Amino acid sequence: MNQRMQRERITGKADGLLVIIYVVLCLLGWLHVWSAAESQVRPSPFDPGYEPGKQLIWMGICTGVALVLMLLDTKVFPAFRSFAYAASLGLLVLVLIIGQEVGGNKSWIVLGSSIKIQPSEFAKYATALMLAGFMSTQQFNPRINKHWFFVFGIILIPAMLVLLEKDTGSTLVYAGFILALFRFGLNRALLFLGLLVAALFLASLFITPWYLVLGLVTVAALVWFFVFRKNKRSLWPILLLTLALSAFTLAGRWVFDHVLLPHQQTRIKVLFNPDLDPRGSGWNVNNSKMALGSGGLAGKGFLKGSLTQLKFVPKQHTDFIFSAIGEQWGFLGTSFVILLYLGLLYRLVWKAEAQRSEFAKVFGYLVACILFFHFFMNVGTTIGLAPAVGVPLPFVSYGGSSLLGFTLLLFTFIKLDAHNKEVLR
Amino acid sequence: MESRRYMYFIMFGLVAFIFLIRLFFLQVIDDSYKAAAEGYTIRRLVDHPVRGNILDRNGEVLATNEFAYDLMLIPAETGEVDTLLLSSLTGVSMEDFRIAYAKVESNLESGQNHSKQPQALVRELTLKSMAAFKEKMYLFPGYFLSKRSVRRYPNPTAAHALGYIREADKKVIENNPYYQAGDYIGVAGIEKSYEELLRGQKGVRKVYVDVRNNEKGPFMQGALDTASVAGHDLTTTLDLSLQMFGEELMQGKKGAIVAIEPATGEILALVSAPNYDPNWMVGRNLRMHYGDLMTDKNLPMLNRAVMDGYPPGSIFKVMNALVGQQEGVIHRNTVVPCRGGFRLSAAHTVGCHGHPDANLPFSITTSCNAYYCHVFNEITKKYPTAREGYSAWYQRARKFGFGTNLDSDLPEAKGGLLPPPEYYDNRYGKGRWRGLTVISLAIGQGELKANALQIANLAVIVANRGYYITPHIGKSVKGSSLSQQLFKRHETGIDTAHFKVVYEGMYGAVHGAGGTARIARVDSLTICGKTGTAQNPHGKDHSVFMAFAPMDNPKIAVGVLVENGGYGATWAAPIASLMIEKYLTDTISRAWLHDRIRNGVLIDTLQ
Repeated sequence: MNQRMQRERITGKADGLLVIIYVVLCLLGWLHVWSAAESQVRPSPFDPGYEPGKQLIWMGICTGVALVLMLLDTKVFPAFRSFAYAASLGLLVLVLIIGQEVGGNKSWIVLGSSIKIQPSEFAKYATALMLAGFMSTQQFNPRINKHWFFVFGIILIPAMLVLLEKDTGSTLVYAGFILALFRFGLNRALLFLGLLVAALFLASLFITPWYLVLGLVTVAALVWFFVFRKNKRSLWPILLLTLALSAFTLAGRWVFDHVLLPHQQTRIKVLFNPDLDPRGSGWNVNNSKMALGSGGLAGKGFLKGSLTQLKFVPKQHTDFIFSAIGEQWGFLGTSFVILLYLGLLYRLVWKAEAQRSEFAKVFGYLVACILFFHFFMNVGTTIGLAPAVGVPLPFVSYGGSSLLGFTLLLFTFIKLDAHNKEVLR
Repeated sequence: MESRRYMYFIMFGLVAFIFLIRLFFLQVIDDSYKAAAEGYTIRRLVDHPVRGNILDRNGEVLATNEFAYDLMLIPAETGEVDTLLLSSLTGVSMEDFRIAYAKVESNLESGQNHSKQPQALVRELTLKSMAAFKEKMYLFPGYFLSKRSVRRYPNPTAAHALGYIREADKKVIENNPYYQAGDYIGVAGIEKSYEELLRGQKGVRKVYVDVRNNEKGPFMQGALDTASVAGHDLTTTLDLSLQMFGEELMQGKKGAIVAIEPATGEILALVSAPNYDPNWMVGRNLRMHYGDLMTDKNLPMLNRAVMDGYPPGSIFKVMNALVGQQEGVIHRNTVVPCRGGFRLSAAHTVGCHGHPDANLPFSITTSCNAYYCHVFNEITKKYPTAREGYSAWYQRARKFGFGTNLDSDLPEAKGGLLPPPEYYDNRYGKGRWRGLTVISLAIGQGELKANALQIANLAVIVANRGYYITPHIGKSVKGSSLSQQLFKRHETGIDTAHFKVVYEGMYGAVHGAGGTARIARVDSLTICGKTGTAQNPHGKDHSVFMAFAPMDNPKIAVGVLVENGGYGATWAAPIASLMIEKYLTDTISRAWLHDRIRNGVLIDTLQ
C-alpha cells in the first residue's frame, strides 16, 4: 500500500459532511467551554491547567483515535465486540468498587492527579458494538421473542450497573438504544406502550390516580368496542393490559414517593414548576433559561454573556453548555447548533440505510439514536422541557471521556461507511 | 421494515422543530428574561457622598465623619441563611437580628421597599466583624456590605445648635425624590438648615455582580454612572471655647445663653441646658439614649435658646425707654416719682422697691417699675384711642424682633409672643381695653414671651445704637455662598441719640450706685447690662440678664435666661458677666464666682 492509497483510506472515503459537522461541533464546544470556564479569571484557551486547554488536549487525542479507526480493518469491530463488552462491564463493576464520587455520581476512575475517566461513556460504545454484532448474525430473527430478550439483556446489564453508580442521566440514555431497535423489527406497540406508561406516571403526580383509572377503563372499552369487537381473541389481552396499566397508575404515586430518591423527585417536580425550588434544582434550569432568553435574536456577543461570564449558570461548561451558546449568540446561534445536529442525525440515518453490511446498518442506527437521545435530553433540560438529569451535549460539552466515547461511536461508523463505499466501487 | 426509516426522520425533525419553536419564544418573543437577567447581574450602587464638616469660627471641627459598614440585603435574592453563623460573624445578637429582619419584613409589607431593593439590615458594623463577614460573604447570597460615612462630633458640645441627622422617613421620601430609604437627612439645627449644602450630591454606579456577589466591573463602561459630589464644609459663627464655657456654666440648670457679635449678627455661643452629647443621635448610640432623652422630664432635647420662652421681665424696660423717647413722651430728665409703685386705681398698684425718684438713666439702673408704667401709659394716651396708641407701640416693639423668629438660620427658632392689638380685641372686646389694662407689658410681664436669642438681640440693638443684623450661625461655605438674607441689616427706627441715656443706665446697672447688676462687674471691662426677673406662676421666678461690652465699640452681646433662678442678678447676670470676660479677655479673674456658678445646681440632674 503506497502513501497515496493510505491517505485515501483515511480521508478519501470518509463522509465529508459527518466529519465537517463533527469538527464544527468540537470547535464550538472548545470555544464555549472557554467562555464558560469555572475559574474566576478567564484562563488562556490553551493553558492545559484549565478546562479549555484540557478539552483541546482531548480533542487532539480524539483526532488520533479517529485516524487509527480509519486505518483499522472493518472486520476488527464485530470481532472485537465481545472483548470490548466484557471489558467495559468489568470497568463498570470496578468503578463501583474503587470509583470516586464527583457531583453526586460515583462514576469516575481517577488516574493520577488530573486525569479522571468515566467508564460509562465507553460502555455505550461497547454496548453498541455488541448489539450490532448480535443483531447482524444470521441466527438473529426479529420474530423470535427470545432474541429480543437477549437484545434487552445486552442493553440492560450495563444500564443497571450505571444506575448503581447513581448516574440517572447516563442510565436513561441507554433507552436511546431501544429507540434504534424499532427499525429492526421491534414491535411498535412497545413504543406506544412505553410512552403511555411514561405519560401515566407523570399524570399520576398531578391527577388523583382513581380518575386516571376511570379514564383508562373508558378508553379501553371504547377502543375494544369500535376496533376489536369482531376479534374475539383480542378481548383478553386488552383486559389484561388495562388491568396492568391501572395497577401501574395506582402504584405510580407510591413509586414516586417511595422508590425515587428525593433529588430525583425534585428534578421531576421542578420540570413542571421551576419556581418550586429556585435556589436548588430549579436554580440551574431557571438561570439557564434566563441566560438563553436574555440572548435575544443575535446574542450578547462572544465572551460578553453577563450570566455566563458572572458564573450564574452552574455546570455551564458541561451539562448547560447550550445556554452559554444561547446567551452569546442568541437564537441565531442556538438554531445553528440545532440544525447542525439535525443534519448530523439525518445524515447518519441516511448513511445507515445505505449500508450493505447488516452490522454497519445496525451500528449506524444505534449511533444516530444514542446521539439523538443525548441531544434531546441535554437541550431539553437547558430549555426547560425535560427533567434535569445531567447528560452531556455530545462533542460540545466539556469532558474527555464523553468526547472520546462519542468520537469512537461516530468514527467507527464513518469507517464502516467508508468501507461500504470502497466495496461498492 | 424499510419504511420505518421515515419514523426516525419524523421523530428527529419533530424534536428539532419543537426545540426551535421553544427557543424562538424564549429568546426572541419573550422579553421578560432580558429584564430578569439584568436584575440578576446588575446592581445599582449608590455612592453616598461624604457629608460636609461643620467648623467653628476659628476652624475647630464641630462635626465630621467616620466610615462605617452597613450589612445590606436584597430580600428577593436571599435564601435560607444560617443566622447563627451570621450572628457569630458580625457579633450582632440573634435578638437584634430578629428585630432587624422584622423591620425588613415590615418595610416590604408597607410597600416602602420592594424586594429587589437593597435594605440595611444592621447598621455600622465594627471593622473587625466587617472583615470576618467579608470572608464568608459568599455563603450569604443577597447580602453585601455598604461603606458609608457616619457623623462624628469630636466635642460633646453644641448639640442643639448642630442638630442631628436621621434616616429619611416615608414622608420625606414621598415628598423629595432625592431621598431613598436608608438615606440620611438633617432634621434639626444646622444639620437641617444647611442640609443641601452639607449633604453633597449622591452618585449612582451600575456594576455587574457575579453569583457570589462580587463586583465585576462597570455596566456599559460606566456610561450611566454619576459621580458623587462631597458635601461642602460649613464654617459657623460659633466660638467653640466660648460655647463649651457656657455649657459648663449652665450645667445643673435649665435655661439658655445666647452670645452675639453685635456688628455682624454672628452667634458666638448658643447654649441650651440641660444638653446632651450630639454623638448620642448617631447610629447605634441612638437606640441606647433616645428613650432616656425623650422621657427625661427636663426635656434635654428642647432648644431653650430659641423656644417660645417666658415673659422677659425688666430687660423689656430698655426697649420701652427707647420707644418712649422716640414717641416723645419722655426725655433724659423726665422724672417720675416712684413712691413704692404705680397706682392703677385706688385698689391696684404696680409695686416697686424703694429707691429715690428717678430720671431716665437712673430708672434703668434701678429698674423702676413705676417709671415704665408711666411711659407705657403716656404712649397709649398720646393717640386718640388707646388701641391706636398700643398699635404704635406694638409696631415699634416688633421692629426690635419681639414676636418674630428673627429670620435666623436656626430652624427651631420660635417668635415667642408679642400680642397684637387684635389679641386684646378678642380678649376684652373692641374698644373695651385701655393702656392700663395691659400695663404689665411696660415691665416685660403679662402675655409677653421671649427667648434668649431675642433678649441677646435686644442687647445687640442697644450696642449698635438702633439696628441689628439677622442673628445667624452659618458664617461661610467652602466653594459656595450663603443667602444674603442672613446678613441683612434691620433698622428699629429709633434715633441714635436716644441710646445715649440707655447706655448710661445700663452702665449704671453694673457699675453705679444702686445698680441692680453690680455682681456682673469686671474691673478691666466696661459692661452694660440689664437684669430681669420673669414672673413664673408655676414656681420660682426665672432669672434674666442681657448685657454687652465693651461700652465703646461693643464686641459681644449676651442674653441669659436661667429657669427658676430667681432675681436676674442671682444667676443670669454673673453668667453673662463670665461669658463676656471669657470672650474678651480669655481669662477668668473671679475664680470664686466661676466655681459658684459652675457648681450651682437648680434642677434634678439626669437620673
